[in-house]
This record gives sequence, structure tokens and C-alpha cells, in this order.
Amino acid sequence: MYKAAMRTKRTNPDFLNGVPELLLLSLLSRRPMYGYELVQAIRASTNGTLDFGEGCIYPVLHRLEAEGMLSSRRETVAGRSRVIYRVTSKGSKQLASTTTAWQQIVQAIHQALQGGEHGKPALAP
Amino acid sequence: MESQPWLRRVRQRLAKHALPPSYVQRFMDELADHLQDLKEESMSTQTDAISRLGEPEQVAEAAVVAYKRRSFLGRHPLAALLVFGVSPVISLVALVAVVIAGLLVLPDGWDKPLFAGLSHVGPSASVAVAYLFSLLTVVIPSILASILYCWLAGRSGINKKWVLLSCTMLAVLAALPSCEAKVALIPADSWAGLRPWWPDSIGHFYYFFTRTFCNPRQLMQLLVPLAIAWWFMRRKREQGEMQLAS
Repeated sequence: MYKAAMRTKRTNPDFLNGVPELLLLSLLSRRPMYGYELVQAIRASTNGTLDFGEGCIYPVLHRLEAEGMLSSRRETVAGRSRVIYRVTSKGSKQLASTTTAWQQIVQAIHQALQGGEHGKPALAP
Repeated sequence: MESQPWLRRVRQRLAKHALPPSYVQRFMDELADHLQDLKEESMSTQTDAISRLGEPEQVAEAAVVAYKRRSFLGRHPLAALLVFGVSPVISLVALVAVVIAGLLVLPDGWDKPLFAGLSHVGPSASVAVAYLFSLLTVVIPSILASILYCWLAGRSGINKKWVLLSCTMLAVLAALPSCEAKVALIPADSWAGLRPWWPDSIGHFYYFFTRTFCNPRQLMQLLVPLAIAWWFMRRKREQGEMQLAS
């Protein structure tokens, strides 16, 4: 799913298109991280459910940075130079609005799958 | 050039898309760091590490797609510099020319420009009209240009620093000219900017440029574009907050 989301085009709805961005902003809002750390954090926070080419994370990070949602700086971590990413105030706002939208969508789909008021099959046995 | 074949394949793939060297280099540096981390992690084998990074074609494609999703001005900083750092000068001069022509000619056409009737209204009224005219020919273009650059920045979704740059340039340029309107006969050998339309019987009327911003009029000319930039950035922030609230 994550791999597919990474490759979806802009014409897709936001709830599909914004999944990688949502995850990255959410994890980076907890603490600044570099790319490899982020991948580990995604695996840990999703119990390894999401499978994706780890190299695909960098283009998303770069785009978020170009859009002003992340900032980056080279820092030395454990003796190695790393590009550390941080969420900006714009990124925090985007995260809040995307999280709300995502929760509404999840709730709506869950309701539809469970068969809500208007979700009962027309030809029930 | 990368010694690792996987990295070389990514770079070769990217080379086909004419991406900026700085973008490619940063991407490759981060991939190399990531690959190194994977190799160090739990003694992963080379094959494991590469399989976790993904297919070179897929990774390169993701980089190309992400880059192309940026706006034109976001992808070309030099173009952004030309648009927001250089073109405000040209735009302002062009708009001043258009507004002068418009104010002079639009009321009654070339045959009877705005100032033609001033000889009938008296010296003090003439000076007031001249002063207002000179003020409008600077303020209206600077307002129009500031709105234009804010709109352009909003459309292209680029960093707010570009709006600040263009509006600051417009503010400084707009604050430079001042105006002098005096009731005195124009000497025969003098030059006045609006002489073709300005009745000789009224006196001098000319623009001048100054390096000091000491009079209230120039201060106002300086503040108008900056106020528009401030309004634009505040509006953007409010839009973000409204999104949050909804």
C-alpha cells in the first residue's frame, strides 16, 4: 500500500496521495530524524506492516522540504554526517489538517464496511 | 561516481531526466548513507541491503516524479530570482508609464489632456492636482505590482521569502521619487517632465529622485508595498488556520 502510495499521481484523491506525507510528518513531529531513522520508525510504528522501497522515502522528504513543511540540516550524529529533518510550523498545520481528514475517511470507510444505516445490502437474505 | 553498482544504476537513470545536479547529488548522498546504514545494521548482506532500498528504476522514478511535482518557480530558483528579484523593477517602471498615460489621457483623450484645463482653476488648485497626480502615478503602480507578485507567489506555492524580496524592492523603488509643484513661471530654457501638457502660465511641475526618505509622502510610498506583503502573508496564515479549524 505504501509503495503504491509513493507512486500515485497527483490526480488521485488526497487520502491516497497523502499517506507517505502523513506518516513522515507524524513521525518527524515527535522528534527530528534522518532518513534511515525514519524508515526504522515507520517499521516500528506499523509493526512492519508496510512494505516499501526505502530509497523512495527521500524524494518525498525533499518535496516536503521544498513545500516548506520540513527543514533540513546536515549534522554529525554518532560520528557520521547526516541530513536531519524537522517539521516546520507549516508542516505541523498540514499534519493536523491531514490527520483530521484521514480519521474522517477511515471512520467513513469503516462504517461502510461494517454496513451502517445506508450500507445494508439491498438484497439481504 | 559511485562505486556501488546499485547507486550507479540510480544515477544513470536520473541522468536521463536532466534534473539539477545539486538535487541529484543530494539524493545520491542520502542513498549512499542509507545503504551504508543498511550494511552496518545487524550485519545485513549486500543483497539484503539492496533489496530493501528497492529497484533502482523505481527509486529514480520516485525522485523524478517528486521533482516534477514542484511548481516551475520552485524547480528553477534562478527563474524565481529573475521573476521576484529583477522583474519588479521593470514591472514598476512599465506600470508607472501606463498609469501616467492613463491619468493624463483617459479623461478627455490626447487632444485635451488632464492638465489642459488647469489654467482656469487657479494656482493653488493646480498645485494640488499636480501633487495628487504625482502621488497616484507612484502609489497605484506600486499597489498593482505588489498584488501581482503576491498573486504569483500564491499561485506557484513558493517560499514567502520571494514575496518579501519583490515587495521590499517595490517599496524602495516607490519611495525614491518625490514631486515638486511650484507656482512660478517656467524659464524658457528649462525642462519639465510634463511640459507638453502643463500650461506654461502655471509654473514648474517635476518629479525628482532622492536618496533620503525624509518626507511623509515617501514614507507612505515605502510602506504601501510592505503592507500588501504583510497582508498577503497574514492571509496565508489565516487560511492555514481555517483549514485546521475545519
